[in-house]
Amino acid sequence: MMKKIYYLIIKSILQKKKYLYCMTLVNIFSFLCIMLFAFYGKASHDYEKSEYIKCCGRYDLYIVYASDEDIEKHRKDDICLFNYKYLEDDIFLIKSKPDYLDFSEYQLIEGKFPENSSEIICEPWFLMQKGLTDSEMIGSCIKIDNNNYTVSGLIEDTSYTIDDDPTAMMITNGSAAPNAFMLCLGDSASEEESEKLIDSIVKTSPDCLCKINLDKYSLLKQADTKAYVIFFIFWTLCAFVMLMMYNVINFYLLGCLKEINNFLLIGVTKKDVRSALILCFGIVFVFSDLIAYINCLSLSKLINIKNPIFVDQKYSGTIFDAFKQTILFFLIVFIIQIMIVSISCILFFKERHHEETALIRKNISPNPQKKFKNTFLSLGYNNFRSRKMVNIITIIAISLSVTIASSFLYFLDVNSDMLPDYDDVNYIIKFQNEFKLSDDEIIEKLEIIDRMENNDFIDAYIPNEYYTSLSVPQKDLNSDYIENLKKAQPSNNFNSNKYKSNVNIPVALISADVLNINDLSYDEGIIFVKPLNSEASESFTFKGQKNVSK
Amino acid sequence: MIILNNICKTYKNKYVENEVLKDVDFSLTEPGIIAITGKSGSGKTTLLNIMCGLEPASSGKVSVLGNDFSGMNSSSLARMRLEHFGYVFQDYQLVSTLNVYDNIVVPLYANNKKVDKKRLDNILEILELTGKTESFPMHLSGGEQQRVAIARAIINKPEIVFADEPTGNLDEINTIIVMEYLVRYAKENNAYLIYVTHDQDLCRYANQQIIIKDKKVNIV
Repeated sequence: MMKKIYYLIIKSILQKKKYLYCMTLVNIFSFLCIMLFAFYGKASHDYEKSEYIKCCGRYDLYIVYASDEDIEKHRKDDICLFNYKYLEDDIFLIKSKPDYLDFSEYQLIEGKFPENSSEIICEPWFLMQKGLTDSEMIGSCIKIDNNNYTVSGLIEDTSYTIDDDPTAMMITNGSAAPNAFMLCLGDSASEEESEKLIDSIVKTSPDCLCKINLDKYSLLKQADTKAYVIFFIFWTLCAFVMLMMYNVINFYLLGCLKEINNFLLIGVTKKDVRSALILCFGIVFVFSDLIAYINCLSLSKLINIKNPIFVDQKYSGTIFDAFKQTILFFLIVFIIQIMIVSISCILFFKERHHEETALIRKNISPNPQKKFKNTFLSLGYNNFRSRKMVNIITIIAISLSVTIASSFLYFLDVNSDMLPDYDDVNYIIKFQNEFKLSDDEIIEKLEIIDRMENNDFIDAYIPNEYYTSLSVPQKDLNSDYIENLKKAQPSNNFNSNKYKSNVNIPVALISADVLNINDLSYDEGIIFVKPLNSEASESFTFKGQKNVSK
Repeated sequence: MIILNNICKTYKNKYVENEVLKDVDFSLTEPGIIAITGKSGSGKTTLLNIMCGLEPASSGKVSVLGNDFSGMNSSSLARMRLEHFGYVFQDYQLVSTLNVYDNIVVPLYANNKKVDKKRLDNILEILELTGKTESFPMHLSGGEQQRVAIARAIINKPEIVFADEPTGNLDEINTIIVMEYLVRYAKENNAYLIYVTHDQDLCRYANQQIIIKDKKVNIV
């Protein structure tokens, strides 16, 4: 419980109106500066990055035709597959052996997820192949892999479109397993190149070469460099603001010296006085911070309307959203302020209080003040003058330390292999283990390619129906069904926290017919060797230019 | 009991050393009214400050109510001043930004005690401060401020009241009011009243008189 004496001390300190207003104004101004700079620094950085991404596409990797020589060279180098670097001419060898297909971006468009092991969700195409009409689909019974299922819902693929880059093409050969790759191909890839790419993947798979989109990363890096400059200016500003606060608090304390001394003479302990002062300044800071914070948010909103740099950025929401997003930063600044207050008060009682009191006892004014017409000008001038050496030394020390720290960070940034900013990357290659197709599998694959090139129907190798797994949030599923899945698939990813994990559930899918190798660049389809559930399965899924453009 | 053993006090700075008290040695065993007198600059206030722990002695030992000051830190001394002593300062030392009521209750609040309204009203009435509780010190006369300082000094029922020229700035009527009240308080509460004065007339209230002359004390 707060001691009663704190109330009296706070009351007496707050009566010093001139100092109170001065401190409040300085705090509001400085808090506003820090917050606005942080907001706009971050927003402009984000905006710049988004502009760069627009210029050079969202894709991260170029696919390059791999000559046998290249492949052989990199195969010998045994290159790590997941190795992003900013160095130019860095080429990566991608090797892949998909075990099964996974369409992680399917959406449930109708019906519900399965609730027991006899239910399944399917693609509408799959059911149409079975001769079912739209209205008959849900609730119908189908037979897959000698099991009978009731269709509980319909799913639709949404994974292969890249909304804001209509010319981009993505080739996926993925699964929920780590040995999957997903590539984005950007604007610069011509139709011919795309064809070549697919061709190269089909022909030369399991190996192909790709390289990082250096344009994008060099531009992003520029944005990061600018962010460091912003970071430097921000911390220098913070340092000045802290210094200013420290001075204002000291000046306030000196202004209240007589009152403080009177409390001490009566017998109030220094500890109590100090605690009450910290509390008092804390209250002042809370209120002035809140005023500054609300003003800052309103100002952001206003500027956003006139110059919509925050569109689609994190501060473009309502004021309430902005509150939620920035409250942590607000709290950090507030905690720093309270630390400054505490340090100021402790140092004051440790060092300055005795000196000032001794001067008062000798009838020497400890702080002969110069008066200006403007009260705040007087306060500011006298404050700086009374602590000139401290001010100058602190400015130099803080500036130097911030410069050194920023330079060090910049040096680290320049000289280290940094991962790309994943916020901007839609699709990321995920590899954990390097692996290759077995010799038998390569032979098997080459046979398919031969047949394709000879215009044989791939249908002969592709059963039209199969099922695979779809990653679904555990919370969306019925608990009995999960229990069944646990028994059937002990290796599935079940987590005790149902809100945090996804589980793979079986779904029925259909492959499109691919009649000609040349169609690969126009249509979407899946090429695979054996039914999906067999161990040696291998498959490629693609979405061609034509389909994406639609 | 107040015991001072071989107390010396010297003020020093870079250039000068000024010895104010030398080998002061006395004890006050029974509560009573004690006046400290002497010429201006003889060290009356210094002696009073040493006795109440506001200033440390350069050498010697001070023991008040069984507490040896030499073994106490500033925080313990402040605690002791708050709980056992009341001090009336020569220049009142009121908190200018608090009103009369708040100034008087500071020692109670600092001790985390509740305000005994009846006792407070009684004190205000005797010291003729009723109706002034909302006023700030700057709006009070010197006499009124001194009476506020006295009210603050005794509100906590201290065992020892120290008063540094409590009537120095008062007219004759106010002097009588203040002194009579302080004496009455000391007698009713079996407390010490130790006051500094250079007015021989005020010594008539005292049972004992400490006279400071040539850095030495003489108890009469």
